[in-house]
Amino acid sequence: MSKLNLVFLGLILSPYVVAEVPTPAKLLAYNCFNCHGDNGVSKGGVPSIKGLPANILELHLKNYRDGTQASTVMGRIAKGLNDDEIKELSSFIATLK
Amino acid sequence: MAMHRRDFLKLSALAGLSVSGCGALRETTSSQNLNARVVIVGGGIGGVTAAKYLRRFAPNLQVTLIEPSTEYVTCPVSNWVIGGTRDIKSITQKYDALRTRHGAKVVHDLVTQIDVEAKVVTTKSGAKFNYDRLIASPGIEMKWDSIEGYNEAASEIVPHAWKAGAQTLLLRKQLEEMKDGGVVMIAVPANPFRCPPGPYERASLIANYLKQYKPKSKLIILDAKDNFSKQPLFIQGWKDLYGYDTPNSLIKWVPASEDGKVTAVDVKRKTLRTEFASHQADVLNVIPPQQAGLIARQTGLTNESGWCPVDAVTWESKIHPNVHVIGDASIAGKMPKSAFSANSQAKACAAAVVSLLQGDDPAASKYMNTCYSLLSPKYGISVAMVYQINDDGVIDEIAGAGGVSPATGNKQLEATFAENWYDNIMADIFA
Ligand SMILES: Cc1cc2nc3c(=O)[nH]c(=O)nc-3n(C[C@H](O)[C@H](O)[C@H](O)COP(=O)(O)OP(=O)(O)OC[C@H]3O[C@@H](n4cnc5c(N)ncnc54)[C@H](O)[C@@H]3O)c2cc1C
Ligand code: HEC
Repeated sequence: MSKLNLVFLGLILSPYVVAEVPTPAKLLAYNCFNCHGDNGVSKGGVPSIKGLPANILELHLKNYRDGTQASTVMGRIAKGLNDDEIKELSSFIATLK
Repeated sequence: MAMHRRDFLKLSALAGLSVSGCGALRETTSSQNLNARVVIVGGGIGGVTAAKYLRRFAPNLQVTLIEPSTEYVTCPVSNWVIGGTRDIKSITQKYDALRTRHGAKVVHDLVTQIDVEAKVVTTKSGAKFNYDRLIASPGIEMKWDSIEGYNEAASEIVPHAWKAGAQTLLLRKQLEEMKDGGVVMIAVPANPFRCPPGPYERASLIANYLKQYKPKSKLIILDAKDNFSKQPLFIQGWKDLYGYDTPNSLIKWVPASEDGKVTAVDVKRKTLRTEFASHQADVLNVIPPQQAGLIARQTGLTNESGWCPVDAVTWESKIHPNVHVIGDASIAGKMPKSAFSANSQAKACAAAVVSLLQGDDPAASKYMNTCYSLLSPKYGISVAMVYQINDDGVIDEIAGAGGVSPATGNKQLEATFAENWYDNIMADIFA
């Protein structure tokens, strides 16, 4: 076996080769942590978003976006998100452990 | 087994192998520890966020962050320390979690050279670090002597306090020692500079201190601009809180068009010179014009503007490949030079670096920013925006999104959120 194949074999057997690059919508979810805290757990007045079900997150974001839900800042942020992004980032946040 | 070049690249990059020429292999790491190496220059907001998220996205990456200080005093909330409502300890962050929880290597040293050809970083102590990709988040450097008489030595007497730490404490001490009835002066630069609303938040929180403890005093802002960030909200707040536009106003703002641009400083006599006048102060704060951190200029990562041109998706330098620049040092289209921006950029850059190391095409994502400012401990305002990359590859604002707090907004609630934002973003970065 050539050195090359040995290297690849080692790789395939190694448990560490997995890397998960977030999609653009998931990256947006990571931006929420700026205000909502590490992994979505807040230390104070801004509500935590970790643990909220996807449909509730989606509803909040859409209500903030169209103004049916009053906010200091969420409306201004939600207006920058489209339906697809809201859907994907909400289901991603709902799966956070 | 058949392998496409793309898959081969993917595996070899993750294994820390680099490809030179047609399929020739060069092993770049020890054989038990097969992974690619990313070196991060600068352990501030951008650098630490990038390190943490690189490890999150690719737990097998070797991430080494190089930063001279063993603690990081944040600029955000340093104006509250200057105003006397927080202490410096509460804004001092540590690197422990990055090491122990996220498995990045943290080296306390100064990077003195980046060899972009050999892909080697050299530090002051003489240590060398090879990298497959490098992320630089070196922040800003003052443009010394662009205001006559204001250089590094002068800043030991008249602080800029635009990098937090000893400078913050020096300005605070001078305010505490000032007599009631004294005049505080702040010289503010033209755009672009770090934290566009920062000087006006500082003015507000100093005014809050003066109002309580030295009510006969005045604060004058001498500005090299005619407009500033969140201006209508600041002016309204100064009226609500500090008698702005009345004869007894605590704050006076002098725009460039009214001879506000400071051209020279005499630090011993505490005087400022503008084109047509000379001003005597008791406490002086000079915020000079700025440029990308020294190492970025030494490495040739800057253009004639003094800042670093980068790709808006990957943050890779447009000058040197395999080197990414994020944070204040970068040219980021419409994004302001803020901690929130640096954090948003760092996450996208980390994702792009992992994609590139795997041989994938990085996907364009949106970015976010929000800057909170306090006008008093109970009076907060904000400006927010979501950004996308336009057809010219430039980061642009999304029409209809973002904007400033409404004039009728709940200032007290926003002050609470401002304080909580600080704790939460710091946990996102340093915990
Ligand atoms: C008074 C003030 C208030 C602010 N308030 C806010 C706010 O409320 N909200 C907000 O979003 N932003 C705020 N900012 C802006 C924010 O501080 C910056 O935008 C942010 O720090 C930028 O991050 P950075 O990683 O680019 O640079 P920095 O955080 O400055 O980090 C750069 C790091 O690189 C290191 N470094 C430099 N050269 C080298 C080298 N050669 N080798 C190794 N290490 C090196 C430095 O030691 C430093 O630790 C404020 C700024 C100021 C001045
Ligand atoms: C600038 C800070 C900031 C950012 C960024 C931010 N939020 Fe918020 N969020 C808030 C604040 C503050 C509130 C309380 C409502 C208000 O005043 O805006 C809130 C409320 C919420 C709520 C309602 C929670 C509840 O239980 O009532 C949800 C859901 C939410 N945000 C989701 C998100 C998501 C998802 C993102 C990222 C796309 C995000 N937020 C980004 C500050 C922020």
